[in-house]
Amino acid sequence: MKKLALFFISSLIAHGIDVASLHPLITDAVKQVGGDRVEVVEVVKPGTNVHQFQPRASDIKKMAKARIIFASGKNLEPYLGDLQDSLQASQIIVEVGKTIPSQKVSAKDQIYACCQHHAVGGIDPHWWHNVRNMGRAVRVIERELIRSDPAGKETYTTNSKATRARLTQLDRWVKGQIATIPRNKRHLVTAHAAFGYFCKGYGFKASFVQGLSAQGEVSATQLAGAIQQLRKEGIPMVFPEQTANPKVLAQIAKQTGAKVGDPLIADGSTRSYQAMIMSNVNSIVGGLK
Amino acid sequence: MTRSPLTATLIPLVPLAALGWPLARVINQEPYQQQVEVEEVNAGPLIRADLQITAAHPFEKVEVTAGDATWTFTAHEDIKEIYFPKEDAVVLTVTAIWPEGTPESAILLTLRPDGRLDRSDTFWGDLEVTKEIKFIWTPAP
Repeated sequence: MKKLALFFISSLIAHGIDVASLHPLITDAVKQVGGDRVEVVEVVKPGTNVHQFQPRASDIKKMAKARIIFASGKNLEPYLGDLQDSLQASQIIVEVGKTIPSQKVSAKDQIYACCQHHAVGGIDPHWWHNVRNMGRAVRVIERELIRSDPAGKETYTTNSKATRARLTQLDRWVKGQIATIPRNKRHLVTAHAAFGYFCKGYGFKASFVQGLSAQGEVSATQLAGAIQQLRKEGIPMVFPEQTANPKVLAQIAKQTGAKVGDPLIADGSTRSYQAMIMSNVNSIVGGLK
Repeated sequence: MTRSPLTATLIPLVPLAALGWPLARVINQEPYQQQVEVEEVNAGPLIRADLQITAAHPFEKVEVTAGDATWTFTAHEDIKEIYFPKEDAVVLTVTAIWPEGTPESAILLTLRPDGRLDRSDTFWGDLEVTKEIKFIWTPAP
């Protein structure tokens, strides 16, 4: 009985704060930084389409105890304004990606944006494809947790440091893997413009061949141009995305003689950030080297 | 038994007040601004940044000065929050001190300002070294 009481008291002491997360990758990072002190409500679970998610009344109810609601930011969650109206005054929304340098989808690539909504303003929301950006995100999470739960500062600082060290190792691993691809072959052809941060961060030329939404609405002329360009450059492989319709990409591949690679995880709707990066990099390296 | 006119007037208002108070809280909330544009990140005169130190060997102390401000890293610290004027360049004066017996060693200094790309520089030394590092951000075309 005494042991049970001690366990109960220690668990009360260890639990510092309730938070909620609107993106599976953010959930992963918050859990790593928060450890046992933080109870995370996964509002958007792995496998959910993060571009189409809209919080329902039941989701808002789930967030009722959360002092911080972590979002990815960069307009990935266009519903944040409405969500704020539904929250209590003491609850704050933190857009983790806010301070990460933005990359804009160029005007010519605008039609290749992941979906119509996220082409607004031309800011690419997929910042997590550069591992160094996730390191920045971890620092944002650390700062916000400390601000809301100062008693847990030591825990958050220690966990953040360990998480960032793992990310540094992951970043080195990515660079090491990419180094095995000849420089002239570092050209990533994907369906949509979701890998801009990856391409810029790791020295790839990027091309996108499938238009707005996952349905493929590129005009015949644009499609013909893409096919001609891919043929000219002798692209060996094009990469579909897990959540997008692969038919158009398969058709393009057929006409250019390229192969269709393993699907990449573009929207980060997966449980483990490290597993996502490793899966994507393994697919890209396997297909291009 | 009858209520006074004041009580009789106030009682019907109680449910209205109970409904109105939470509504007023919602209405009076500041409108939420979506934080998309990079420019909004650095609205003030200073830029917030994370300054990270990665050392090849354990150091005793690293001091970083930008303008009038100095930040000191002790042996167990690897990252600090710093602020510097919102300009296209910042000059950091870095002094590193290693314990006796440490061979010539390297320190990687990485600056990650909010809304700006990372900048980093590696410098070498033994026992004590001071170096001036200038990081530049070319304005976007």
